[in-house]
Amino acid sequence: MIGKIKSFEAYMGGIIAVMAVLVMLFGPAVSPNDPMEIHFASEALGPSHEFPLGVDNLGRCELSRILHGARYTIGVAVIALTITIFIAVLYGFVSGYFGGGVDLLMTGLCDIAMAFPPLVIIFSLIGIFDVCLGTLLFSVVIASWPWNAKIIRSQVLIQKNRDYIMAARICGTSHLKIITKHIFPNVLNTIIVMYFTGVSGMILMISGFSYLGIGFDHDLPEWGVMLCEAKAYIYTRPELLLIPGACIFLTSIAFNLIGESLRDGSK
Amino acid sequence: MKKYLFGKVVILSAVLIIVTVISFILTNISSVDPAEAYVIAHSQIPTEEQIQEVRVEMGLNLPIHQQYFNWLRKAINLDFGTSLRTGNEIVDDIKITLMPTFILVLISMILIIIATISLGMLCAQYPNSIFDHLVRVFNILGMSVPTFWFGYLLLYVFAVKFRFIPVISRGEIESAFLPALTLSVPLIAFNVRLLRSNLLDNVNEDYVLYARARGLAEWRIMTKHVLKNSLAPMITIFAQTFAYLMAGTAIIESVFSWPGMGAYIIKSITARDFPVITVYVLIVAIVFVCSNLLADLINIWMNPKVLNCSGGQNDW
Repeated sequence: MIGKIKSFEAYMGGIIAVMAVLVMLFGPAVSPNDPMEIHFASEALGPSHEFPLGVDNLGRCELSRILHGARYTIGVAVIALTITIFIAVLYGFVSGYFGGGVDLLMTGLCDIAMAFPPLVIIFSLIGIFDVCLGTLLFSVVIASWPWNAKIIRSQVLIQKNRDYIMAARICGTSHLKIITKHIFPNVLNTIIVMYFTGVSGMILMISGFSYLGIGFDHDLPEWGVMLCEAKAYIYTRPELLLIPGACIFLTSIAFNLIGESLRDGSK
Repeated sequence: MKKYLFGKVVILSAVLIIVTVISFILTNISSVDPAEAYVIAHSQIPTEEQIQEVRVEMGLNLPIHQQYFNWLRKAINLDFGTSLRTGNEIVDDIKITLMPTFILVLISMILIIIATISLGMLCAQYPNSIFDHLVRVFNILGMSVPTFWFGYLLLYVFAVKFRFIPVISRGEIESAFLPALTLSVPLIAFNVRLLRSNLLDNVNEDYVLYARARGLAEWRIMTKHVLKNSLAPMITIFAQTFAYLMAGTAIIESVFSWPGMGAYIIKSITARDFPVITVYVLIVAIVFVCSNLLADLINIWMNPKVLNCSGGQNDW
């Protein structure tokens, strides 16, 4: 029974995630209207033939904005996570594999970076540089790599001390070959789990900042920005708050479900 | 004990010194000249002379290390200067905003600790039961929910539909419950999972078998023995949760228009008010360091064996 529930969760997560990716890829192509075009004449705010989900406070097609928004919200989160994990893997491998003084220095640096709560790093970096998307990406990466790097390092350390690595060394295999051919495939599982569990956290973080008005222009159809724009209309048009938030929620559930199933499977 | 504490304090003060240096450097590598920003904020058209004057007045013409020590000396006396945005003393601004945030965090912490321990224990007592599955679903939902959206849902239901509370709060204790609930849901989800797996790791230990053999009731074994042994890592987690909350209320404060430090700091960031950002980083780092130290102390108090194991010493 447990196995059934777990695989049900994985399927559900997979289906929603595939849908999210499809929307990301083809959403703009199938969207009925221009997400930025303002329709003054659209008296009817609610759903209609022309605007299936109605129009927002400025008269822009809500459905088109949601479809276009997936690229911004999920896309930026995936880019940020990819850079973060790339740095973490590089750092973790160098620090874990070579050990000694290098390791001591590199873990020390990690510990110092981890002594700050991530939000503080992000806030101070955004405050210092410009309030723009580039800064948001940069600061999110800076704030989150040490946590991932430490996990990768400990995994590399576990693999490095196994007998098969010793055997490979005795055979005269080069360090590069040991890392790429032997250790990396064994750590790959951890990296994939990290990736899927990380995506939803990243989506929540990025959309949270864009809700605060940090990162994206206020007229872009990003889901967090749309929520921020709609908050003044909580009395009259609550669905404008509901729809983009539900999109973030669903996407994040999907990736969490996949991540959790992968984590349970890899144990 | 003394030696351990001494080492701990040395490490933590080293962290604090690094934090002060970093936060000082952060304010200095910015692309905006603070003197210019100050002049622009206080008069329409800045002249070069005005900027120079302000620069000398603010001590920005001194060498960098001297600026750091000046800043540090003032910081120890709680003199952080004035905010570029509001023109008030930063200490006064922080004093006003710190309390509402602290109240919010305190209520959230109470909710988090009660919910985590009770849910975690019930799940571990009846693993794979219906209840356990429901909590698992709650965990996934809680981990995935965008807190700002959840906050608006609560606001819509309780303030717009049923009018239990006003939409805009002025920092009264009774209106702190909804924002505190919003803040705590994701953290409860994360913590319950950790506690559950900690408890389940302990359930198969020999001492549980022994307790069962002695004929103790199951709930008594869970509360008296298993929970006690699983609590050590949770105390560290709770301390980190506290520090995380102190830094992480900005979004929720903006949703519920709560007059706290998070909302204040967001305004300062968008206004590029560097002195305030520096103070904020410093405060959060101090909270972070102190709560970690406190967690270690509680762990030692609960289980003095921690002192004898060598791993604990570097484990900050």
